Amino acid sequence: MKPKAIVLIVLLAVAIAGIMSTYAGAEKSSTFSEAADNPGDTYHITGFLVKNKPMVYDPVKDANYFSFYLKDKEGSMRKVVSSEPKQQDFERAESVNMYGHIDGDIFVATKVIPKCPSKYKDEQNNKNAQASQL
Amino acid sequence: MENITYVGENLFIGNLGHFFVVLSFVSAILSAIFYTKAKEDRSVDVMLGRLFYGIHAIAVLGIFVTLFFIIQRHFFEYAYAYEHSSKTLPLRYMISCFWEGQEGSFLLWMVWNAFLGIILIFTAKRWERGVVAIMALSQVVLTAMLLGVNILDIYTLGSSPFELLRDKLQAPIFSLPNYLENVVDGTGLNPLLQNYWMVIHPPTLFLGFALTIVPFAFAVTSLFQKEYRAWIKPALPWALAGGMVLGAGIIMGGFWAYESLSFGGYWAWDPVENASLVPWLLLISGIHLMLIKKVTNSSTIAAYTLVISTFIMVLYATFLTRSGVLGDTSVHAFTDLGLAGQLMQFVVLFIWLPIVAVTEGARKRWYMIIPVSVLVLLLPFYTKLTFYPLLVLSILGLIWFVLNLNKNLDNNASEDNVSSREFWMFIGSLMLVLSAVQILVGTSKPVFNKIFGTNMVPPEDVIGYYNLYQMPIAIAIAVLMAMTQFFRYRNTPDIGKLAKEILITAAISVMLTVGGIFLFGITNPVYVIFMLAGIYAFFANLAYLVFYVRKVKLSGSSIAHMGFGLMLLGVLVSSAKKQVITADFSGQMGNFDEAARRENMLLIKDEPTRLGDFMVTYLGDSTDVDDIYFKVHYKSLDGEEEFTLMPNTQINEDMGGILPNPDTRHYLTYDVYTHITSLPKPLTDSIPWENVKEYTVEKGDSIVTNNGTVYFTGVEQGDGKSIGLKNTTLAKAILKIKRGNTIIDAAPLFGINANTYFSIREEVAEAGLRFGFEIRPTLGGEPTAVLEISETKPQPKFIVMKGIVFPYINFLWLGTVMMVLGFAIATWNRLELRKS
Repeated sequence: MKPKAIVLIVLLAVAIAGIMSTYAGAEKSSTFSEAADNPGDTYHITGFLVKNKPMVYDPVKDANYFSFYLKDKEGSMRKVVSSEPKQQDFERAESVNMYGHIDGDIFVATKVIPKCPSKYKDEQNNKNAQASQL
Repeated sequence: MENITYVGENLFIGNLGHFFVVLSFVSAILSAIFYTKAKEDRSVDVMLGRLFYGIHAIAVLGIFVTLFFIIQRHFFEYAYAYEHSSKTLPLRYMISCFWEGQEGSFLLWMVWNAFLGIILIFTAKRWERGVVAIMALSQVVLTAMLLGVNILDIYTLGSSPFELLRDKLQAPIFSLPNYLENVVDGTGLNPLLQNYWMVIHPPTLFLGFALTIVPFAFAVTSLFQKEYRAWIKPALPWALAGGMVLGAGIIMGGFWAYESLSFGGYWAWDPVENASLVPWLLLISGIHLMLIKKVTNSSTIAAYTLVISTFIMVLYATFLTRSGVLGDTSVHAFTDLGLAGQLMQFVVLFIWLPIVAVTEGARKRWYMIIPVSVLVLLLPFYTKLTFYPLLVLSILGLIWFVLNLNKNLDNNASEDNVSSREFWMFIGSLMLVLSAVQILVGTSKPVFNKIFGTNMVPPEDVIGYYNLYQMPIAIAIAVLMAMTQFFRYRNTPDIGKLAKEILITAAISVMLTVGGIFLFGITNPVYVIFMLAGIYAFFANLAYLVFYVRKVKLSGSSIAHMGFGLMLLGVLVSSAKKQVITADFSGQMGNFDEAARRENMLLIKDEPTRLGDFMVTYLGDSTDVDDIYFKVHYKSLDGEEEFTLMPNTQINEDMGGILPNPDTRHYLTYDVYTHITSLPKPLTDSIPWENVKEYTVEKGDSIVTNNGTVYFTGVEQGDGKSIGLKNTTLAKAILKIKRGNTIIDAAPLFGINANTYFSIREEVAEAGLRFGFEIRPTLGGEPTAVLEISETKPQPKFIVMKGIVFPYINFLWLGTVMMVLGFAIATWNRLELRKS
């Protein structure tokens, strides 16, 4: 066989293996109960902020401690702690995406991404907002 | 609403814009038709094709100028001006309004395309007919995106940038004939775009995108004409120029992110960044394959496939970012303007074109006309996702393309010689494709989710995820880049000499790497290999440049390759050895026990804190229109370096309150980067003020409170105009508050005019004091000054910030500059060769 052909086949195999592993090993959106089954393993959870529970960020005490309560898609609630500061307007978040793991009773989030109603993401909201401004 | 005669609108300018859009659309169609119809190079048809292309180019320029005029003159009756600009927007950012909106972005692309087409008319010679016809065709599709014409009330073709606000939005205000008087200002430009780099990055990127169509057009024309080799010569300078401009555009985006976004880096593997990187990788691969084809007449199919895929990927990237399919996975994602169907048509049309070109026989033309008509007729019924079945069909089409092309070629199966340069260049090109495919697959996850209903999420550590795959590929590419120049085309006669060259450069690179290990402190074995690969690519090409390259104009490839090696080195050292100096390793963790990233540091005003090798002090803030600047003073422990950074936050309600912008101090061997991550809560009415007491004061009095001593140093008289009040006299109490060693100023106001008097309190949060001031007349005597003081818990002034030291990031920027320079020299060389 020609060397070029061999290289082509090897690279094709690598590419296919890469694609398979990308999609098969991809992290999936999950819930607290699934995450609680494997404490320590990283999960991605989408949920809603529980607004009547305390939200703690006191930078004077600890600039790397932020805690809040979140209800996941199944409706179960957990305390979440994160080492990133509370983002301004976090209270306004419609929903929150986060990565992290269960540790005892709490969910330790390594990445917290609030989804805010924002001008640049939602054209329809935008139009309504603009119309109401006028 | 229909019978209202509106007052104050400038309708003429919008109509003029519309006219230009329609004119450019029609003239592009006519130009494409005449060029396609032309049988000979100097025929009347070619002249007509040129004429209409010229008209088209002028019309496109007309659209651009008209829209700019609307923005510059603040005609807010036009939705585009209302949504993307405001009266306070400085002139230098007005051009940025073009790329905040989709219509403007397409317009920018069209302007570049029109310009490139004109150059081609003058330079393409015997290729002109085919190449400019394809340029005109792409302009037809692009112009259609701006038409905004409603067809039979079922479908709107395109989205016009000249749409009136009252047509776009439904609001009761538009029932007033004089509604414009109430539309005082536009909603403004996204503050992230109000940056110097954002003025030049998008046009550069779009020029890069536009340039990729030119090699595509040459390739397709050559397929129609069955000249499988001659097209390379005229197309090569264009491809190289595209590699240069697109590469520069991408890295400018990275530089912008580094300078003004606060994710702490220059590259985040964001879908939109990826979408521009993939075509660039394919283009570079294509350039190498074109060279192989030109010199050895082999790799024909690979060269065609890559040149064509590059342009298709530009279109796919446009679709991905502009159709809203990415959703919220990207910071850049645009919302759908209803253009998804048209974008799809664009992609499919340009995949179809090369397929038709290789199809033999008289029915060829029908292959073209019938599917295109079907596409157009189906346009109103597209949804975003029908794109993907079409894409699968297109991939099958590409296979059909390869098989057909293979049949058409005289089988010139040159032997693969492992000792030939082209063999290793070919492997390198495949590696670039592999890299592109991996990025594409990772980026298309949200699309995969939508089609198959899966719920994959982006990986937690996006950067780590891509690096894991891209690092080995980059190592392989760097090593190939280092060795391959020493091979000769077809066959390297002196294998012994070759081995010596490769091994000696490798040995020296190993020695340099050992030095690098000590200099940079990199010990991770994978990183060491990566560093070796980068150094090898740099050094071997330097050696080749010194020993083999005799003419400056032949030095392009060596310089570009050296630049790439240097870039890898810069990427490695700046990210592997980046030091978060605000990280807290004191062991004092929060409530959770793991060694979480504690990268944020609280700095209380005037209290120096040691961060890394610096003593850092937050000195205070100042406000400038919508920005708050924070003075952060750095002094190195050895006292040698001292500087002040001014990271700022923009106050912007729409973007979620505050928007931090970093500030960076650049040194030759490292950068110190700082941005704000949190601020104290602003004082609100809910704060309980206690111990409210009134004091009658005279100049020089001091009052002791629980929160410090207040000195009343006198009263200044002022004019109400300073706070926007007419015919008012102000009295300002000048206070000094002494807390420990710090002295804080405060100045409560008392105002009086013909009818009334009032006082304006001042709150000093860091001292926990609030002051009111009043001047009271007394019976028969001098009026007395009364100071009201309230107390609360002092709220220290502080910032929470992140500070990062990026070592040797200048290798990255220097490498980029070298690469761009290399491309420029190579382009110049190929232009010279084309003349001969």
